[in-house]
Amino acid sequence: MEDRVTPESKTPGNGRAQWRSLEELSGSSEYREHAETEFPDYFAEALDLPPVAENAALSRRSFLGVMGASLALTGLAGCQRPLAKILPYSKLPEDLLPGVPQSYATVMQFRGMGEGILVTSNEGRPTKIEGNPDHPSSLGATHSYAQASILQLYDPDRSQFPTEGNASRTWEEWNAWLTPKLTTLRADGGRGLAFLSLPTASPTLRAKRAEVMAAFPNARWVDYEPLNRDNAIEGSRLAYGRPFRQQLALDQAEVIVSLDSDFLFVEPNSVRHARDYGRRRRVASTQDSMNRLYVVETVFSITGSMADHRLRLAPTQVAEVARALAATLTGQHSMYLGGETWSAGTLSDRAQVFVATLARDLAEHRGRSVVLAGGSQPPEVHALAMALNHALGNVGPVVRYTLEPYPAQQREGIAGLAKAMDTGQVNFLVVLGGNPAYDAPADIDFTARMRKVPDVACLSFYRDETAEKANWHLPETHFLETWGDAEAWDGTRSIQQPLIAPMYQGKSELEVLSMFLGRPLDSHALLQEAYGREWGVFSGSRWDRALNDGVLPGTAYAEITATPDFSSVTAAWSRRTPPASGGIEALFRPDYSVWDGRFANNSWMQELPDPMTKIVWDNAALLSSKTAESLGVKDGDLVSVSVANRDLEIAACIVPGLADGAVVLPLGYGRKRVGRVGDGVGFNTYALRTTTGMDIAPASVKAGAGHYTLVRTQDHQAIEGRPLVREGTLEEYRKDPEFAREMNEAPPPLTLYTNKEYDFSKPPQWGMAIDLNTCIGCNACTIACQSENNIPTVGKEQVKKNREMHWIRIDRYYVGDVEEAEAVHQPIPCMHCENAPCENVCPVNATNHSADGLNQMVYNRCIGTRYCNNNCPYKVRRFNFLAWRKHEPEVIKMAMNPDVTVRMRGVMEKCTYCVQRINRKRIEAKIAQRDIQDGEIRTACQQVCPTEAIIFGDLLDSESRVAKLKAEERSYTLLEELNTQPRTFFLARLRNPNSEMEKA
Amino acid sequence: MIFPKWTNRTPLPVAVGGGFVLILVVTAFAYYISPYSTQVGYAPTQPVPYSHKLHAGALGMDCRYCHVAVERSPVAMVPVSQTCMNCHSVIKKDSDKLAPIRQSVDTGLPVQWVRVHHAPDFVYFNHSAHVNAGVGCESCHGRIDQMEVVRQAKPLNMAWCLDCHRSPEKYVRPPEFVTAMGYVPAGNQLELGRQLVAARNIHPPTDCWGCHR
Repeated sequence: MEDRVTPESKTPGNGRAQWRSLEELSGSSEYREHAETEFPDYFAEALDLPPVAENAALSRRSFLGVMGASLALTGLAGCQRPLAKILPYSKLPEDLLPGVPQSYATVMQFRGMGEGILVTSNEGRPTKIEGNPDHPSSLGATHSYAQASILQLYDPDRSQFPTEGNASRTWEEWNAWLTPKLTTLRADGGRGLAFLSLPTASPTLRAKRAEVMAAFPNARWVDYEPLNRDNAIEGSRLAYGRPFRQQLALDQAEVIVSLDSDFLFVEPNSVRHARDYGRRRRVASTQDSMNRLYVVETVFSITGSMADHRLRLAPTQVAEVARALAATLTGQHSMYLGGETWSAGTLSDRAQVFVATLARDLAEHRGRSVVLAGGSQPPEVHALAMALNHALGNVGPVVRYTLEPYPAQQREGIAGLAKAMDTGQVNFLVVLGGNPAYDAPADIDFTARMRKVPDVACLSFYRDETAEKANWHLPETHFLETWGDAEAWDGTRSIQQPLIAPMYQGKSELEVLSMFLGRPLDSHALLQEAYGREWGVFSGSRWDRALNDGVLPGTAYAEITATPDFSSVTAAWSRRTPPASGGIEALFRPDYSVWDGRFANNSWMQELPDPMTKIVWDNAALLSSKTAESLGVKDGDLVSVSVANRDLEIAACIVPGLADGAVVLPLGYGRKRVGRVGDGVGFNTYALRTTTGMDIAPASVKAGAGHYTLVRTQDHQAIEGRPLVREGTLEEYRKDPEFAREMNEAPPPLTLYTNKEYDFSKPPQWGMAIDLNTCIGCNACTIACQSENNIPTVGKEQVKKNREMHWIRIDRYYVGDVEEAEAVHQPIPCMHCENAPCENVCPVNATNHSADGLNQMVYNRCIGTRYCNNNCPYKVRRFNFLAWRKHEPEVIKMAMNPDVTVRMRGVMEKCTYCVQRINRKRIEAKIAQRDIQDGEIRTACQQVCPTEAIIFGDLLDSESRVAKLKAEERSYTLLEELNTQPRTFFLARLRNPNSEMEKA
Repeated sequence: MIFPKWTNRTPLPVAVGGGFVLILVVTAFAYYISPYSTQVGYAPTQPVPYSHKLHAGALGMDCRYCHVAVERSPVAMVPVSQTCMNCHSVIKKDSDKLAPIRQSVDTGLPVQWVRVHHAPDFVYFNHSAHVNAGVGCESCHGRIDQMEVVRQAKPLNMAWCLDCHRSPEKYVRPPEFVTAMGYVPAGNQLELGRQLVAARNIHPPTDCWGCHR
């Protein structure tokens, strides 16, 4: 490496260091040890097996006896042909052809909105979820939660039958219990009856709830979700006097400002946002332009990792930036904000420069910019962001408003309900879907209040923390098991059609509510009834059309034009208490893996590394290194965080790029009653969340006693010291489009193998492009691959030993110094090298090449030497160290893709470019006597990608998208000096910094 | 002295034992590649004594009347019980032999047929690809029209598959004769086969991932 001449500006990190972890940056001995042994603990484990009780008593003689007997038995069993049965249908279901998967459009509700999906069904068994290209909130992509929800369907720990106390019951018994109760309730209009539900995007369900409230006018209905949109809705009320919902056209924005808004992942409609954002990051030639993203945030979000300029600030300081921005724009750029004067407040020097530059950029991009406030920011920040957008002329071209269909204030709602429960005003509480005993604000102490209510019924997916304390628990259906409907973010409606009959005795909220109306019907009848009412006459053809398309056209919300009330915004700011300086602020935020805790029993999500911290199977209190230092806390130490006199012992994790004086607490862990996967994993940060500090709260952090093992994959599969992620600025790219290729001096393609074994001249020759400029690191590809390719999970202990099985991993690199680090993401699937180093070393030819350029892995030949693993420079091969599948419950088998082998212990596996999809399309094309069209074959990772960063296709077809990308100047391959000739290639990351920021 | 004295007596037992092991290995391998292990001739008893000889042979029914998915799906599809009843609700409608079929139609539960042709789990065989390429049913399943009880006619091992995948011209037929039994090529098979391969652009994969994944 020494003789390589690389000019400073031509280094991959643009002259700065690229590193994955603080340990790597400091070059600690633990890191060296970890990086050099790819699979640590392997030998230690082999030599230091804990004594197993039965083995301890086994003498050598009896051991031989047992072995001999089992060998003989296997031998005998081998002679007998297993009797296999074929069970055809008795009558063939309509449209079903065994062996050919079907796809149905339906909709998933998440974050209070519907996301259109297409579900693949194999003989009636849903196995894979894709986005619906016709749905405005999906456009064909999904996020990781939608992908993982298929595993949720087959969760063996789902609640399966109603229970009363601890006794199992039937729905008839529930109805028998409910009916007399309803008669008494009806007599006084439902006094003492209270419903607590999740906000819903289903118009039919909303109508049904209204119907129930009409039948019980004295009852109380409260919505509560721990991660809600209270702040945004309240902000809209401040600015416009009405609850508005923002509809963004981010592809129209040149300048995007995020005030702690993780609009690429956490905020609703993120999949659509990511697509629109990605469109304006795609650069094919030096003539193309890019948008510019400014992010002000506390902790690295994936939106922050995409920022061109990022400012890290404590949570309350983010609001001060908004204020300063208003002051600068009104003061220096003659922007009209109702003629009010804004004071800039106190900001650090760096922040002042940031605001000044940003204001200038915004002023220059009136009508082509947008200011976004994050859900954790207080209402006044949302109101100000709305006012700024209006003043900048962005309302119309970039931002449009529709009415918020469900504007109930949730925090006040649950606080009010708790008070009523406390004072004995509630006799019968019906919890529909939520889990308040776990996720309600801690100061409410919902569990204690529940005890004061004589009758509590809880409809939930798991027999969870709330259900367990209720007198009656009712099992809830999965959304793939029941009929319903849901509105997209823009209001476009979709029918939710089930893919499978309820696997257990579950019922949906719609069905349960129909019981309260004394007319229990199934969800199909209820939905058709509702649409019959809406359409006047129920139209079968219209219904079928809606089911087929997955959307009902023309149902989007009407756009509203309004003028903000600037004085109300100013008044709200004058009421704002200035942030206290010096202390530590806690920021609660959803977890990238388990969200608010509802995915806690989903092993795919638990094992999915957090996009930024790379923690698996845990959450932790995130601290900056400076804060940690001042507290005397080291990474992994247990700390005691206290908020409003509540304490929590939690592991500390030091992360780069985090604001000083802040502790970030991801929610959703530390669950007690969810199932075998999620019980007791991580720390329950809800214990610190109170009604006065739902998002941001003053906190104190003390060093605790002891150390905790956090497992992070950030140093796994390390390929250090080489130009892997190449980045430059848009300006540099325009000056020297080939900058990425010049970062590495590629030697002439020399090879020891003179007689080329494979001929790659015949089309198709598959290849894959990954555009680092649009990859936001959202992890959707990893989960889509896991679902498509039957990839097992291994658990925290095994991940610690680098044994995670993901076929596509996302390497996250930090760039620059620790505090002001920038970040880049790089998805790494198999490179499918033409000169594959893994192939030469396999003693049994279990890995070799196909004529269309795929690096094949043949499980039935593999004997598990792991030589290929050792010889792969990209570290993409995964070994089945143990029989991961052996102890999985039977029902998980239903989630498997029947076109992909479920691997056993002792075999190697890796990315196949989704060869099952290639073969399916190849056979289809062959039968139709035509060529495979470009874009016809999409790998699972490509199909799910919200930003379309992954493109797969034929490299020999000059018209294919992948070939065009290959021809782009930004394209480069990893480790080309090894002459492996990878088929997977990357397009260099570009940043679009504002040159004035550096001048200042 | 490195070796004790008794080692002088070991060569003979070792030679005899070694020879025995060698014979064992050779026999085992011979068995492994023989039709005994490839299960040629396997003809299990089925729950309904359905006669292909009668239906496909004497009555001359086309294979695709029952195996409806064969041209469109990886599986040929064992017919659903309703297919039998298309005729047997009129013909022999009270036959005892058909009791399991009638029961299946009444209850909606499947008839438990016994699988005859069993490819290993890691083989992803696709009927539609073969049938559309002009591989006759007979080529893999033998003279079904002469079988009272269906039995496995061909070894179905990998070498046997590759024989055709490497030189399909030896076996392919014009599409109209795919389901024909006792097909005799009009002319030289190799010549005709080469024409068919060229005309229909037949390139059977010989890559591992063509069939295993």
